[in-house]
Amino acid sequence: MTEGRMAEVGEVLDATSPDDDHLVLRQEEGRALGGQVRQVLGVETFMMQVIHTVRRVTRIANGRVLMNVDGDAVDCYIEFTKDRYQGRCSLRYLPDLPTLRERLTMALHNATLSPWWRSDRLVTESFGPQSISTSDIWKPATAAALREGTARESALTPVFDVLDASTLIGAGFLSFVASARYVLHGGGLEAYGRETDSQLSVRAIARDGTSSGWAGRVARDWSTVVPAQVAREAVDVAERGAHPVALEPGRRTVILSATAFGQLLDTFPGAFDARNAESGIGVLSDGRKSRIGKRVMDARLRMWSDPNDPMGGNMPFFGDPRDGAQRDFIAGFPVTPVSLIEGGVLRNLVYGMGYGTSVGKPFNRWPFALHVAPMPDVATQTLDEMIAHCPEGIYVNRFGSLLVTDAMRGQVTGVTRDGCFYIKDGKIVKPIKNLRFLTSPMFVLNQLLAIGVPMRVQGADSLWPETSFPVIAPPVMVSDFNFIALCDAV
Amino acid sequence: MSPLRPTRREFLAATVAPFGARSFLPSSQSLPITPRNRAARATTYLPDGTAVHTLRQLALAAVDAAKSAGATYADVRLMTMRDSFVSLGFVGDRPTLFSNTSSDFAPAFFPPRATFDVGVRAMVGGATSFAYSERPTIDAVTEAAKHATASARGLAGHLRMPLEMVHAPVATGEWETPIRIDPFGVPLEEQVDLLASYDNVVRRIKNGSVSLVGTGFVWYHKIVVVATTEGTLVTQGWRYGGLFQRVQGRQGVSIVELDGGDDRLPIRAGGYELMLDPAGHDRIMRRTEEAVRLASYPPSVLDVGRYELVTGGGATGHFLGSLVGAALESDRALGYEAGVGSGSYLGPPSAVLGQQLFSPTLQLSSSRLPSAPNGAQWDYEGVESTCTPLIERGRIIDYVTTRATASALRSWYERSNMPVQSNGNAGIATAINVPLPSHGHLIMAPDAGGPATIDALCAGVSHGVLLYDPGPMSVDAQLSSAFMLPSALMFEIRRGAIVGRLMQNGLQLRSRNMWGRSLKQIGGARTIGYTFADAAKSQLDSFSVEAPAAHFVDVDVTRTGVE
Repeated sequence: MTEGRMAEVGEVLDATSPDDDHLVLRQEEGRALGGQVRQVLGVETFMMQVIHTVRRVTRIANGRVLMNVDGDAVDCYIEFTKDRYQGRCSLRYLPDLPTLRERLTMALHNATLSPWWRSDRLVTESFGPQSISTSDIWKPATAAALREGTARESALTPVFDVLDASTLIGAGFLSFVASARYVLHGGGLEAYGRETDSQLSVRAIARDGTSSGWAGRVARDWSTVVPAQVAREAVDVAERGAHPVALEPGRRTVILSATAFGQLLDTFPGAFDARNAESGIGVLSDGRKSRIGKRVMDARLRMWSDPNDPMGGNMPFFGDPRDGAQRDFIAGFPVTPVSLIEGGVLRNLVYGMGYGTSVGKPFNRWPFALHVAPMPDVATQTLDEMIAHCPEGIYVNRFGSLLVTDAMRGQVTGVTRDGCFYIKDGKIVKPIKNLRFLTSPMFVLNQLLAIGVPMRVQGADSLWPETSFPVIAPPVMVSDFNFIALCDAV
Repeated sequence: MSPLRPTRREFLAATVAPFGARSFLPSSQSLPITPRNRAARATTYLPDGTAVHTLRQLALAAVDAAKSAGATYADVRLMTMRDSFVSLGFVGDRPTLFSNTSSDFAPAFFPPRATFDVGVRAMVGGATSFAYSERPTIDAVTEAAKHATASARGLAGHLRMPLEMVHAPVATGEWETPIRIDPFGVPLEEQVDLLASYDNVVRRIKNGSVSLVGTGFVWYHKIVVVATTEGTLVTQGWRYGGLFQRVQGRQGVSIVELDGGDDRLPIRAGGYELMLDPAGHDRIMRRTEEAVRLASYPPSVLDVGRYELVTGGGATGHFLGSLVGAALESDRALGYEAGVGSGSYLGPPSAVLGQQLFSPTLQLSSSRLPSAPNGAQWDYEGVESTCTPLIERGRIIDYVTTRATASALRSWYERSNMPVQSNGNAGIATAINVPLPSHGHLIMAPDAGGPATIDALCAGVSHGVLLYDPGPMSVDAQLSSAFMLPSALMFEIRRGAIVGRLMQNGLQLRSRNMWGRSLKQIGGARTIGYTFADAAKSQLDSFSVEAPAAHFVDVDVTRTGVE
């Protein structure tokens, strides 16, 4: 793990390069707006947060561009304390000075009518002078793809070409996102960061509707994605999956692609919530207290979250729309790397602000980017090696329709999709129809037979790609995976 | 937040997502109502919304900008939304499963907000592109229009197949939900007093209580302007709201929770007059008594196997919406949603239309008419709303379509002597979404001579399951099967009578079987229930469903084990 950099107060936190061309909010703009807020309010007990997001999302199917969405959104949020009243103000654009004055005056008027709950967060807790730098999650190639627009056409042409060369029909999803976030506390804390992200997925479907294949890449840096390769992988899986046969459900050895394993893990981070675990709730609790310090999963595994993770990462300070419960963090507060599992042993939990304060723990809330990997001394296997070592089992390319069925036990159900194959004597021998499963990620994490090299994986395709956090996961081989029913869906 | 205690935010997300309420939720936090603000109204807190004539000017400016930039077709949607939410909510520190003291609840309200969104769809050379903004200025909307047109032009040379927008008559005019009392002008004090009277009804019932999500009123006023380069310009205003309340019944450790509000839909079109129904208190009392009665059944477990299943109207509607209604969205059936992993077992249309795939007793239609719960004069493409028959005697005869999908059904429409046009079912959650085919209100016809009560349907069951209130379902990507969790409110039936409550059994459903050979009997009009079904697309709101109770045979009942 790496340490985030603390900048000097007043320093430009994340200098934009000349070719960035003002794609998203600059630090100077955020700082200028903050100065106006300070001037209008005339107090130092305030917090301001501005999030600016630019996105381009394209969906294709059957040779058509079905949807191409270009969005540019600003979310500006200010809360303050003045004359014993607490006010809040939310705008969907960067206001000019008269608008800002009007909205803050209205917010103060509303505040005088009804004070906030005492239990609510108080802005007077705002932090003193410190500046927080961005982590390395802004990639010029992705920013250029957003700015120029032609990257979209350049990406789609090879995808169409590969699909045209096959006998399959295809659909795809392409997105580029750039976002900037600026936070200023009246007390002096200032944070600014930018991030880019991109993803491309292709789903190829047999014309008779009996098989499908999927491949996807998600990357901070668009230049690392080769669209034709993604399309070829999807076509390959779909072609190999033609004419699947039904296999009886039951407990079976499975080889999960990194994507499939990552999808399962994506249901898991809530288990690390300290309030639940220490109250005896969830799979990282023994029913009375948390299992901290105990081995909870395969000793070959480790898990951590690090804003500066080169494979994913996240903004190094709180204030993210993905946080959801706004009462549980203070925007701009630094996010530090946290080791969650080491050698299968639970090392840390995550604390929200309210609960962390009440039990005297530094609050770090959820891990953002979740990185799951084998311990450094563990030998990894490639997917081909796992298949070669599997006497009988099933390869799962991806899951769909995931639903947590029991939050207390971490039980999850879902359906295999877009590539499911029967393995016999170390070889894939035939495609099989999809199966529904019912299991717990905790069970899977304790039944590992082999672990591969982690990669960043893609969860659900979303029109709002920035709403999911990076998950980095390896492919794995697992014993006794619980399939409960056949599924007709392709 | 403990999984045992849903927040009001979570409750609202689940119950008021229909009608476009999503934009209300993200940054709202409740304020207490104190002597200082009891006389205030929602309008006291609201920033001025964008005036309707300004919305029209903005829409026309965007259309002109797209046309000037070279769009062969463009349409614009502008939406403003105001909301107000008043509640008696739980204020204690310790989440518990059961509370029945009024001191645990206090009046509060969410500060009302007004939002603005605009989306522009432009077409050049068979390619469409969409851009949006959340700023109500001429500069912002014209910039979005130019951007969408430029993007469409860029994509036009890279298509293998152009997209066709079918013809639609030019529409102009205005429409608004009729209301008698504007809830935004009703003092908070008056609303709190009425809510307190609802709560008191519940607390008077022995072993009855109000759930910790509290009791509240939620009100919305949405205005949408749609304009196209063809000359359509329509302005519509939706007024809707209602009571949200979950009532609980307890017997020992057994707790049953039910919607306490309206027998129809908790949120529906209208104004504050909806809440002045004199029968409202009686209804809440009956629901609470029902919850107490249902909580009295002892726990029971069924072995894995196939059983008969009786569903109340709401539960029938839940399955119908998720497994049949959504599958009849034309974009799913045509494979347009495959890129984001959604499809339909009722596709491709060429293989499905005209086929009898379901029980001949199944009659299904979808309505966006003004008389429907969330209906209007026109859809979000400016096409006149209709009531579209979808299934007749088990035979699929149509899908819900938009101008962008209807052309793919051309051969069927021509063969059936039907016009090749959208049936007026373009939907959006907010204006920053591209219009997609969606149901307004899905209607399953009752059996005119069918049983008049659920008890009458249960009477014919020797050993089976009564599904009273469905739980969450994992539905596969083609909607061909579903797994319903044991958290549903289900009961074991033996010889026509309820004998126990099932808490460890789930249901494994296959869509075609369920609505085909498994559907044994449909209830009469008096068994009709109402619910919302998840559209399963982030760009769309949930849609409402009305359906009668039903009796199914050979339904797979599962048991969830613990690893």
